Amino acid sequence: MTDLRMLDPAEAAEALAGTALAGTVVAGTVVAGTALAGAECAGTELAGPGLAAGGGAARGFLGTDPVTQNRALLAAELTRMGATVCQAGDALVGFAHRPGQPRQALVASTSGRPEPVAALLAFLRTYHRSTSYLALVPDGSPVAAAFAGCGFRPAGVLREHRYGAGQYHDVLVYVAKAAGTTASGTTAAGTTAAQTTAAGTTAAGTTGPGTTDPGTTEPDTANAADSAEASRCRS
Amino acid sequence: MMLRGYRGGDAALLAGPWLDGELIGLPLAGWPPLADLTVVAPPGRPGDELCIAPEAGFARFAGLDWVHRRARLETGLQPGREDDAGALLQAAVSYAFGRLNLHRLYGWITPAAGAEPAAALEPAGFRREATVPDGIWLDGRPVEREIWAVIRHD
Repeated sequence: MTDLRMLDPAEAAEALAGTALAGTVVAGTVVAGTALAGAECAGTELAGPGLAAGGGAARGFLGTDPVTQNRALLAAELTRMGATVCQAGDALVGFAHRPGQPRQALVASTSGRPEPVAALLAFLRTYHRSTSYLALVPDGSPVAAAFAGCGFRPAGVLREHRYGAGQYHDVLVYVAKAAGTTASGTTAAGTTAAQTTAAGTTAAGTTGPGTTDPGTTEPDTANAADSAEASRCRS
Repeated sequence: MMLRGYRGGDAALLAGPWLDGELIGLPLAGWPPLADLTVVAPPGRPGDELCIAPEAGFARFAGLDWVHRRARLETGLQPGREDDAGALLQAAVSYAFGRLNLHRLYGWITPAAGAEPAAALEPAGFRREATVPDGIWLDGRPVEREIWAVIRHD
């Protein structure tokens, strides 16, 4: 399972800027040097395609644009929206809770692979008791594959929401419910693992309407949640 | 309807029994008597523009983005002025495109709040773009929310 490491806003801005400027993360492959600690640098033969097709992977990350925004502005934007950015292997993932609905998280990734997103969802499910997720992905971004691979479904298109390269571009809206979440937004307690998931019957079994605190952490459920989200992404 | 800038005497228009951040902020029926009213902050924060519809309500352009030329519209109408929703939206769209020079205006609608969004939004040019399940917590449960937007065609 991919490990998550929290970054402070300055670190996140640094990593995002490095990702975008190097055009690094393309379909989950690091193809050039980045500011990500622990990232492996590939040979220069991969940098060309990366620069040509990459860059876009980090654009639109939680509404930011690391190509046109400098690091101070990136950090200010992430701080303003209360976002948390984590390093997940060679990718960055991030989330911010929605105002008015703290159980729903706005999520983002810089990778086209589902594994970093799966790690983030498992974390949110277990430690923040999130019951649903929302992702805004620029049209044509390779990151859409990561969300599709984790069970996200299209919920609409924001027309001409972003401006870049001299024209306006659409942004795709993806939504997903946390594993084991019922239609009412709470979790199905007392069901078997075959019916829902281990994450749904333990970590968030006490989720109540109107509760905004992230709740307590149950260490023995963390691995179960990881496994549930991972299996969901694989399927 | 004419929109104007905020004055100190308009503070009463910034509080009411509506959902926070709603595109059509109509007074909600059955507002719990002990619940605080929703309050919108007076102008002063960068990235926000607040306009007043005298004696009726307000229109707030939140999250102004000058690169992408867009803003999220929020409105609030005082009890008894519900019929002004359409006029307020049209005035807000006119202000956003004519004065702020925006390209896109969008906002959140909560169908469960009881509003008839299409009747007021479509004449102002808005179209529904996305539906987000569990988008807001209302009346003890998560309910669906929609994103509506209008685009300026130059």
